[in-house]
Amino acid sequence: MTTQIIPSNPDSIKTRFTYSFVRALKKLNKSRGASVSPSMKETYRRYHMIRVASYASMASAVGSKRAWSRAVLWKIRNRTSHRALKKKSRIHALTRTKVRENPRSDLNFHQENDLRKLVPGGEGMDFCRLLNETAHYIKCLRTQATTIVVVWAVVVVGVIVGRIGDGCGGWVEMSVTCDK
Amino acid sequence: MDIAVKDANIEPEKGNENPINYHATNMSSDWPLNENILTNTSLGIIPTGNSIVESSVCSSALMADSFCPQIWDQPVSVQSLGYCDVNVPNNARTKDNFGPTSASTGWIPDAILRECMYLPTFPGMVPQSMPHFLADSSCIEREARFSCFSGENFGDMMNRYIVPENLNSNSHVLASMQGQHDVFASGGRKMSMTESSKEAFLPSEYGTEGSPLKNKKTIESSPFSRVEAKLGVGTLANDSNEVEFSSRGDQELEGSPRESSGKGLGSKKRKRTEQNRELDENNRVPEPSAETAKDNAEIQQKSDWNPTSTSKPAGKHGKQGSQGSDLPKEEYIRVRARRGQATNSHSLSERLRREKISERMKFLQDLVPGCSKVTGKAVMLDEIINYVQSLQRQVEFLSMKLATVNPLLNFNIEGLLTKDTIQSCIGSSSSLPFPPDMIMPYLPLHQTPPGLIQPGLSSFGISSNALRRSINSPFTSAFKESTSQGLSLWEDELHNVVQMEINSSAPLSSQDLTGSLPPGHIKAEL
Repeated sequence: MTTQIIPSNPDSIKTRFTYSFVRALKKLNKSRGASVSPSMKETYRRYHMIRVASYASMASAVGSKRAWSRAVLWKIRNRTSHRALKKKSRIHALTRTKVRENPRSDLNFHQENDLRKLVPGGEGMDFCRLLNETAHYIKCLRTQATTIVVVWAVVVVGVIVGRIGDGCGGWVEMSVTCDK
Repeated sequence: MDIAVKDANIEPEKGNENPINYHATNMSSDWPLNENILTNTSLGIIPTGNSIVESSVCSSALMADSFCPQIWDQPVSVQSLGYCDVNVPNNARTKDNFGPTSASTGWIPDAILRECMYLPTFPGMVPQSMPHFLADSSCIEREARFSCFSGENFGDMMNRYIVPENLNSNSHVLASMQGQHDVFASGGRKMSMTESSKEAFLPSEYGTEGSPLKNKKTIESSPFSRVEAKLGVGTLANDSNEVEFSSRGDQELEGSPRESSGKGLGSKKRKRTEQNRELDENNRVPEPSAETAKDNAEIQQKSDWNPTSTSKPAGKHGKQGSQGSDLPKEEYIRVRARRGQATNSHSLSERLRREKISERMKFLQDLVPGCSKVTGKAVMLDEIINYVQSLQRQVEFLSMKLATVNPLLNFNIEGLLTKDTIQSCIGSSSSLPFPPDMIMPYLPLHQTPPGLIQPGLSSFGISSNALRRSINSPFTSAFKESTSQGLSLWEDELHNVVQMEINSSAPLSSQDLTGSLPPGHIKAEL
């Protein structure tokens, strides 16, 4: 019974995620061209694309083994073109959920629903499977967050160093002396 | 009991299919063959007891090895067999032919075991006359069982092995089987028996291993004795169950002749009764009547022998079946459920489900930080939901940060985001001393991204070496020299902060951070 709870290898997932995420970032920067003035709209669009890229690379790193990764990939693939289809499937999923409703879990029904909404693909599962998926999803989210933090740190440091290299060295020294 | 033991021992043999089915069928295939030979050789009675079991299992193991390509992983040990008490059927011993007149109340398997001992050389198993030494209701039940077993094995083995010697015996066995089924009919349990026998005697159907065979086995398993099925399922569950089953099996066999579980107790039903037995050791669950046998047969078709799911479908289907037999059961069983628990199979399955859910919840408790003290499903679920939401928000926030930082990057990004940096990223992220949750309170406190670098990086435990590595790769040496001074300054401050963090076990508050920032803190405006 515990076979379902055996965690998948986090290192490989992390590696795959990092590679695909960094690749996506590179692609994003290439398409964006030179440094654009960070308007709100532009920033928001970038944010959205980076977010989608992170979820997509996470889901592809996990593969199709998990229901939530499959749901995420499906959502991303059909995001733009099949919005109507998604609505239909969501309705189907909701009806399925209703069928599978367990009157025995009335106490936690509210939370169950919330969890279903949170975990991608959690609409059409029974509670037991939902908990499984939640556990794996939490693990992957955590690795995703830590990896993105590191990527961001590297990027920021690179930016700073780049600024320094661009001739802002004097400026840095000035700020240092000012603080003193 | 013997069967249970055999089932348990044979279990690891077959890996490709449901172990229980295969093992049971393997064993049963052994028995008929042995029986045949025994009848021919008219071997004497083997002393019963564990020795028989051992020897039989060993011999069956031998036979299994001879015809089974799989490795007998589990050594047949005395200990494993020790827990089953073998009731030697008096009749079976005396019967050379193991005819239907044998009034063996004990174990058919005993006889079979004996036969098994003497048939080490027969690779091919002919499902045959095992049943034909079953005279009792119990015998009949076992007979039906074995017929089913043998039927399954027949097809299985026939495909694999050609045993010309057994061909004649095959026909003989078939005839005997049919005869036995007639006996069954006389016993009044014809319906389930004949059904099962018909299913058993379709060797053409059993041409292939795999799921079709498995399904058929499940169908045929309906006439299997309760004990076998339960034992089979019990092996899946745990050893304690096995022991209980075996002991119960003893009781059963010795008990009333109504133990014609072969009637067609569905596997699920058996599972249900298993669970009942878990609660009550004095269970004497009478086998279901013919109607329930039919139900079980139908249920069996739907049932799944998958070990991981036996409990669940067993519970569910057991519900249906048991409801029909609740009344007749009451007459015979004094089921002692757990204190304050209902004995309804419905509640049993629900209890199983609840146990599964609680198991998963415990696992989630370990995942979610700060949930060890929390008790109760509702609160745990709340915590889990909050954690998932916070993680998702974190990812979104970080991607927003990346989005703001990205446009500031020059064309160095390709150089930055090389494999080296990725490796250092992976290494750093794996060495993060704090969960990313702790990053979140820091990040919103600072307006400028650079302000986040030091506390953020120190939180991450990113060594300056890793940073240096990542930064150095895209830059030329000349550039490095010019920036080395500023970088070293920055690195010194980073070191300070990192050491501070390392020293302090508690998470740094915002005041600590701002207060503890060294005076040389670089405030690069991005």
